[in-house]
Amino acid sequence: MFPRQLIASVILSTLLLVLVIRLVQKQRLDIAYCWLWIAVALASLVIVIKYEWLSKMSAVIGSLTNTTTLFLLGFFAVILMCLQFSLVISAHRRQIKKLCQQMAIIEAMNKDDKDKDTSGKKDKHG
Amino acid sequence: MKSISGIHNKLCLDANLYQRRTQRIVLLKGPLVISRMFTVQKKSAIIQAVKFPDSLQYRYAGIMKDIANILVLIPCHNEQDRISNVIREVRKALPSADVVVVDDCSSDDSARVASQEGARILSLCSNLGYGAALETGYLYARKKGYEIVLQMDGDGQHQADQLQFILEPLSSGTADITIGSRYLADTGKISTTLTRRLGHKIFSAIVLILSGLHISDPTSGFQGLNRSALALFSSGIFPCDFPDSDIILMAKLSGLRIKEVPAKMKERSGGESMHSGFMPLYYGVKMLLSIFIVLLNSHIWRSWRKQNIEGPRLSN
Repeated sequence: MFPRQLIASVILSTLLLVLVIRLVQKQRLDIAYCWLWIAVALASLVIVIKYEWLSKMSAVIGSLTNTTTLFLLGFFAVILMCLQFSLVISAHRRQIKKLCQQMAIIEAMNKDDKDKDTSGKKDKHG
Repeated sequence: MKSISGIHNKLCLDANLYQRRTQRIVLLKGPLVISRMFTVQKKSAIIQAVKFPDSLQYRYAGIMKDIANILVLIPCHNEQDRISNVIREVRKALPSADVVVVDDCSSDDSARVASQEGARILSLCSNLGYGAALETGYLYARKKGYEIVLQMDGDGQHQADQLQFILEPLSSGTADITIGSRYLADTGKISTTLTRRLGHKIFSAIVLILSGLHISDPTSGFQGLNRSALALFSSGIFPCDFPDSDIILMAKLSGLRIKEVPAKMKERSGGESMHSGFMPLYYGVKMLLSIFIVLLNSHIWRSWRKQNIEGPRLSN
């Protein structure tokens, strides 16, 4: 790796890491959802510093150039992130469903109780 | 607590005993019989029946209808023009049953119209889908301790006078779930699209192969459930969108008895079907995947069966 390329990669990876940590610090990103972003930032840093690991990995998976391996890793990271988002959305959907259902049931049961009270009072007076 | 079929014999005797007396005596005796046999409160059903004397029959079936704790569940989404008629028909067919309309966040006046007709409304603040609307009704029914839930669509396709056929196997204790089938009813030519008919055939065949159960109309929402089925369906496993063949298979694997009965159905008089546009394609793929997941989770249904069906039977 060329020195300029190395410096640029280190700066970008560090910026990503700092950005994620700052977002968590400002409570704009939940800790529960930041781990994958931190993993990506750390992985890019490791790849830049230990570039020979990438070459070894390329040899293991049979890719001719390191760029292909990097592309595959990036693609896999994006897929993982999408999966995580889907998990989060599914969990939220379940929670919203439960919330809506409970609200509707409580509202109806309150009305049932009110109707019962009203009819009870009517019986008493009538 | 005794089962519905246990009450059946006792009520037959009581019905014969009081058949010659006046209607009032039957009604007064009703709560006493009921309070002896049930642990839950059923008197209100009888008191409600007094308000509708025309519907009372001295035959067992009539008394059973009036005393059993029945809830008619109607999920609806934008059905303001049809819902009032549906509720009126239900009231005519089963005067003592409670009617609950689950309004799946309609953008029209469905909830208000249904409320004016005297139905209890379960208003969902977000559009959750047909399955989730049904599940809300099941949860409500369980909380209120209903014995039987009869469900029908709010678009007027299902005829309330057919509810008695759905109810009968449940009240006699011969089934846990009844499904009304348009194909078994003697109505001549049934006007459904080719895609839908093909879908029915395919999923009917899949259910038959996987469970040995022949269901001619697996997509029918005209159903009845007893407490066991209600317990299964309100345990958090009910799908949000299309509860059809997957649910039938799940119920069968969980040891519930499913019976299909003939039920006449009408054409939709308006509104938009949830099976329009590209939905049938999505439905097919989703249902196949859902059936696959149900099969993967066989161990869950087996353990549910052991806990809720076989366990109580052995202890009895």
